[in-house]
Amino acid sequence: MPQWTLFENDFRAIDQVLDALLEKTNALSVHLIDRSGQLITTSGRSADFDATAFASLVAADFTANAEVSQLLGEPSIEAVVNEGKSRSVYSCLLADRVIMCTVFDRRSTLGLVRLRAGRAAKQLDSVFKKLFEKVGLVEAGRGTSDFAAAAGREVDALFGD
Amino acid sequence: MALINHRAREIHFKIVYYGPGLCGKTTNLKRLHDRLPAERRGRLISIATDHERTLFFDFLPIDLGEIGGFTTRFHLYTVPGQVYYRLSRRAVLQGLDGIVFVADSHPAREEANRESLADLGTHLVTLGLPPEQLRRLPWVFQYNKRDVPAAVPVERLRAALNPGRAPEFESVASEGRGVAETLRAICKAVLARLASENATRESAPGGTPAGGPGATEPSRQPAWAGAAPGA
Repeated sequence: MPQWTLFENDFRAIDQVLDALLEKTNALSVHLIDRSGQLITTSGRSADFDATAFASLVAADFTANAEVSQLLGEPSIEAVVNEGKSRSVYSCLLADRVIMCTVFDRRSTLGLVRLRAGRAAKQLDSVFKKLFEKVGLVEAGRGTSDFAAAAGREVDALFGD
Repeated sequence: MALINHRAREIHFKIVYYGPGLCGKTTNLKRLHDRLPAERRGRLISIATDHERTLFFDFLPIDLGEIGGFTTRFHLYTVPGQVYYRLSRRAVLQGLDGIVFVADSHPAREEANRESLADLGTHLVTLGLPPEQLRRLPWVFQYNKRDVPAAVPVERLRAALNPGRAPEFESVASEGRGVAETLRAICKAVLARLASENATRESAPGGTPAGGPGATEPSRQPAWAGAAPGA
């Protein structure tokens, strides 16, 4: 699959939308996660949990639920809700491959998060679609070969006898 | 799909261990988790049944450290091997950068190996990978359980599963034998592909400059890759 590169200016528009979503919903944090399970960016508070594990589980959970929807004859899935006692998670898809995941507690409500997250997703949808159009066109690789060689040496050091 | 995040200064790669039920995919990750220093690996997550059969996937993140200013991570996943978890396997394959196919050397599992490989081919096509990307996807084969009595000869496994001669390793994952070698090979294949893609881009008309020649050996894959799946 093609590599996907995000530069600092790509994040500016994204940050604005995520920050506004946090402010309007009083949510704890918002996370953008690639469907492969990789964390793209986070806004808000998330220091008390393992963000890497969180991202992999959210992506798998979302994809599994999408498969469930297909089995039920739905063409696509709108959102996945994880309802906890103190913290809940609302996840929706944008640009077909990025999961926007809002973590909230009793200071917010599912209805409010759903409404605002839907609007934010529409805004980000166009941002990411433009970004994906650049895939394969961006200058991803000055020094990529050097990087690969150095990473290869680290792999040898880590797994060598 | 490698994700290069310039803000977080991180590069992530996703590697999936695939193979028939009980072939040793989870054991591979457990032995790696045991072996790697704590600062180089994250938590091993297993979504398994009460009987320790993988229900959805296992996940182990490995941290190579900072290279060229970028924290480099490999995310290792396994799929559930049992036949009826077909859709779960497809979910795990999303966005993969490389595949380790773990084959079971037990004589009674030859057909299961072949079916699993065919199943994988079907999924990769279903995921919408263009033939060119499918052809270049890095692969490594691991012939596991070499210690079982009357283990299927490697030549026979190779002929059935790996006629394209992708890198291959014999292993006894339960003892940790061959586990690190397999991971090292797939990591290096994934990195070589990253370098070769940018080298290709550099040489293409109108392409953007890359960083010079790198390891550019294309991936060698099963016979069906890029052709009809499930052969």
